[in-house]
Amino acid sequence: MAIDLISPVASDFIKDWPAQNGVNCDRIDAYAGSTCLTTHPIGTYTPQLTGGSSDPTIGTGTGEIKGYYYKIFDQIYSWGHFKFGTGFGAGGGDYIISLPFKVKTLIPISANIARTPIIGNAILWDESLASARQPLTCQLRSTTTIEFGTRKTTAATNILVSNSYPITWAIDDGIKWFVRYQRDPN
Amino acid sequence: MGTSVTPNIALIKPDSDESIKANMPTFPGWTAQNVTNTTIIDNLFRASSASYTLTLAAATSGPTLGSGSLLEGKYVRIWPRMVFGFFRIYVGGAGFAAGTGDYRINIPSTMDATLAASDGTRTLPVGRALFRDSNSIPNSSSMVVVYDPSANRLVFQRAQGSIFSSSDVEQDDRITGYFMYPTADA
Repeated sequence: MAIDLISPVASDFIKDWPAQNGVNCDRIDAYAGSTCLTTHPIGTYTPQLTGGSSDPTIGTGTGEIKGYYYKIFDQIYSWGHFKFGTGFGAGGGDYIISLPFKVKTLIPISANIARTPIIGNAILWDESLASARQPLTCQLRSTTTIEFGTRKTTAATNILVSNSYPITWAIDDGIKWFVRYQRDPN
Repeated sequence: MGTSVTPNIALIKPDSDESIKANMPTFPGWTAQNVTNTTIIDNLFRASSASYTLTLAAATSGPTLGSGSLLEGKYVRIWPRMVFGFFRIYVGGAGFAAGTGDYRINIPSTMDATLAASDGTRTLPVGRALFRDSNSIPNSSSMVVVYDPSANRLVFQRAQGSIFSSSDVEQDDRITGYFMYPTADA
């Protein structure tokens, strides 16, 4: 049983039923959790934005980084965004974001971005130039991080979003992502 | 409910409706309580898909669907806050008028308020869609479905950087896709 519910046998007396039912109801309620309530707030976490060679800095003012998630047992649905603010630093190398929980994946994570699992979508947001806003793929960088894939305009290959590609980062630029995956309980 | 007697010494043999069962209390509360419990548990498992009235609008003036058009919206709620939606749009043939402005569709349940407000008026990626340009197949494209909190609608982010709009659509074009998001609706 997924939940250790009491299943009365033939010799159990009716008089024992209220207590057994009470135990079962409490165990079902605890297992389902408060997340069954529509009023339950979604979870929050602070994603970490790192760079392949040196870490970016978010900056101040309008700069921010936020993460959210909703769990259904071991299925994780997570959203997040970062936005550069005043005094930000673009860092160096590929942009990498941390996840709220470790991923359980049967598909090996690869350094080849064409072979690593894609677990979601993202939007690159260019505040000053709407035509530069573009869809991205969210790919596993590791079991705890994601990277963002985009398509080069001049070649039929995908590359990763970085400090220098595909835009020149400015204040209020950023990335908004959405991923879904199975959580590794270990 | 009744009795029978043995043929020789007339021993009374109550049937199953007699005796203990006849004198049992009726437990008036249990029936209603059990109905409440089973309804609560059943509502958690909304396994079947439901339909909702999908509307296709545009930012300035709405499109007019042509002959044979289709607007189909389906969704499932799991556990129960996660909404998984699927949609199909066929703009139709003769009589189609594209309207003016960015295209947008409605959602079956309210977006979680925390998530909707997480980044001001900026859009939130929630799914993917495929646009099939029936008149020029190479123009067909994959788009990211994004939630626009300012309009409380879903719009479509194109790879070229623009939001899918009336200028992209002609007779016989189609859009299909999916989205997922948490809701706080009961």
